[in-house]
Amino acid sequence: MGRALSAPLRATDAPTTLLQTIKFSAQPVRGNYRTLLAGAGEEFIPRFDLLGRTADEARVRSRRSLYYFAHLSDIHVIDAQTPAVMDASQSIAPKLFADACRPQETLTVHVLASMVDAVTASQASPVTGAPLASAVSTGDSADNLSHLEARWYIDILDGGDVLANSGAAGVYEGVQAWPEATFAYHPEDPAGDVFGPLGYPTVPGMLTAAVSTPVQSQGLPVPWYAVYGNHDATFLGTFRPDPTLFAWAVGDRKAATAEGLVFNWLQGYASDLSAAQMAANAIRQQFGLLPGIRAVTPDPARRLLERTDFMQAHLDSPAVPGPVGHGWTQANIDTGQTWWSADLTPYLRVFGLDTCNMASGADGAVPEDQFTWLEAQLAQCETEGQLAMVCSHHNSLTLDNDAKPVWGGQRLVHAEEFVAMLMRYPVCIAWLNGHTHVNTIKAHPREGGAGGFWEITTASCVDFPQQQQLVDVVDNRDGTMSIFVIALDHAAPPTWAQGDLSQTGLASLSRELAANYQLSNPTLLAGSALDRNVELLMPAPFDLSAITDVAVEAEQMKARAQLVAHRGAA
Amino acid sequence: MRRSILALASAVAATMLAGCSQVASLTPVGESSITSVRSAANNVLVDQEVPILVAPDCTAVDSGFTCVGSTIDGAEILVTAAGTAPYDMTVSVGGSVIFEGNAQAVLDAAVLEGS
Repeated sequence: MGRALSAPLRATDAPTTLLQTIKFSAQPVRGNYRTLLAGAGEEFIPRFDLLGRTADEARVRSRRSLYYFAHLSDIHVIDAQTPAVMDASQSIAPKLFADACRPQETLTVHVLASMVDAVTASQASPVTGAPLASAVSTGDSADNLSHLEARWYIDILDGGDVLANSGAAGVYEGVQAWPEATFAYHPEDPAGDVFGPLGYPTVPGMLTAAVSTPVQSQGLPVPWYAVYGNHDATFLGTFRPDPTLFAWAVGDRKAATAEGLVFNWLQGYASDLSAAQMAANAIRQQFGLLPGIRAVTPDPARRLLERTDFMQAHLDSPAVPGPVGHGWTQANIDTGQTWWSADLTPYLRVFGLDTCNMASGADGAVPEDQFTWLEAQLAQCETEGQLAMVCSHHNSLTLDNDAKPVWGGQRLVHAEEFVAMLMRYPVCIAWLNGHTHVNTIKAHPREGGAGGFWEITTASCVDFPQQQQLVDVVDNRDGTMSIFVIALDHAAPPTWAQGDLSQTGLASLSRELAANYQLSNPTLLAGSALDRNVELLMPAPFDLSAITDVAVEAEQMKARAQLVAHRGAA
Repeated sequence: MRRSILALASAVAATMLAGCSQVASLTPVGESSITSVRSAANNVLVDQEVPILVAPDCTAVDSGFTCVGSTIDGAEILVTAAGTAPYDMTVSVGGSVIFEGNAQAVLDAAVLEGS
């Protein structure tokens, strides 16, 4: 144990985008369809936006890591077979509902397990060699307010086996197998759907493999934290669920076409159906006479999440990797308060916000009570000389939702006011978020001089490029600090080998399908070179020598012990 | 029957959207014109090895988008772009045009083999 703790971690082992990127083939292989392949790595680019000048090169020799962690977001684990999904809406407005039925939607658990592998392989910072200490997930971990989706994502991050199936055992029941659902990709034979002419591949057995073989996850080697995203809080990430939707989720009718979707919807809202009418509908459905509706195997495990269920699911997880609750505690359940704070170290506090709007809309806002609480907390960090990071799902482009319940509600704070508040507290060095699925790193400079904070938005696990981030917070020991951000691909090979239906093979295939899904604008989601592997410089908010080397080393020793214990358990 | 049901579907969807104050937020995540322009401009600057001090910050204007930044030696970085896809844009550094083309093509080229 002692030898393991003192052994240097090998930073170069990490398969990050510093060493290798993933590129599209120069030419399509069929139609518009391109495969993926390995490309050259991307070096760090220093960003001076908040420094107002270039940096002293001597920092490379003097710097020390204060905290190294992983940033996950928009994992979007999907139960693709649930009746409570509006995949058929894609045939009404493909661009508007692009996220309702992705070609890769049965493979999200496989991707997440592969991302866990990538994070685990990155347990030494590629910059400083510091040990990985934690991970934070900034929301949209589930896709559609589903209890199963929440459970699957938590179990993959905690470690264990997950069978990504619901309904009938070993059988996929959903639009990707139903020929009338021409808006969906049919891997068994795409010739009759909209993806066939685009060159999407025929992959016999993909759906069966996805729902019949458990996905094995080694689990994250470090404690991880989570916040709410709009897909964890509302139906379709947009609507407040009502009793009709709760009934759909555990029912036996699934829409295969737009007609079926509308019929289901209207039937659900019709409260005056007679018993005879309901019986007639049941018989018509049994014989396939209801338009666009199929019978599926009902599953009570598909129930939709109530407001505190998502937090409770996090409390129902093991102590390792922990922490139990992953940021939330029993007090959150008792009070209904959906946000939290945690001391990652004695000198770094993280705040997990809930920016979801429960009235309607995918975008977010900060309710005034949370805003007031956060400001008081940041003032305390300022007084106590503690660095701070804020985590939320929504970012400064999407903190603009003003929808309120019809009976009123508290004031909602939007991006401009929120950014201005964070700016008042120099100890707030970073705001981590997601939501848009685009790698984006934005400087928020303070008026009239250097300083401010960095806003760090990561891409998603579900859409191309299926990347997350590693983050190393560094003291340059010259009055400046740097936040290194590294884009991280999941561990599955860049190129999918034809016919490979293994766990990692399906994760590779998912990335390839996502890369070709033009409705999501995949090339935009990768962000620019200034949004991936970067060194984000800024003035130190206080004399960082107050954080002693002894204190830093003690924290890193704890982190190393976590990693060693994980290796021992594995 | 099919036509009438599709019409009904469209009517329901339209009603749903019209009745919601958050129509803009229903657009697919990641679909952001200002992000396209910003990312493409950044890629142009990096590809041409412009020494960036402040990366361009973009705002919407009547004609589309304008992004302003600066180089390490104090020159202004100016990006002007149309507001609709594929976002025709011009990137200038210190008054000299270094790029004219469309943003979507820059983004697409950046992920291709050999880029």
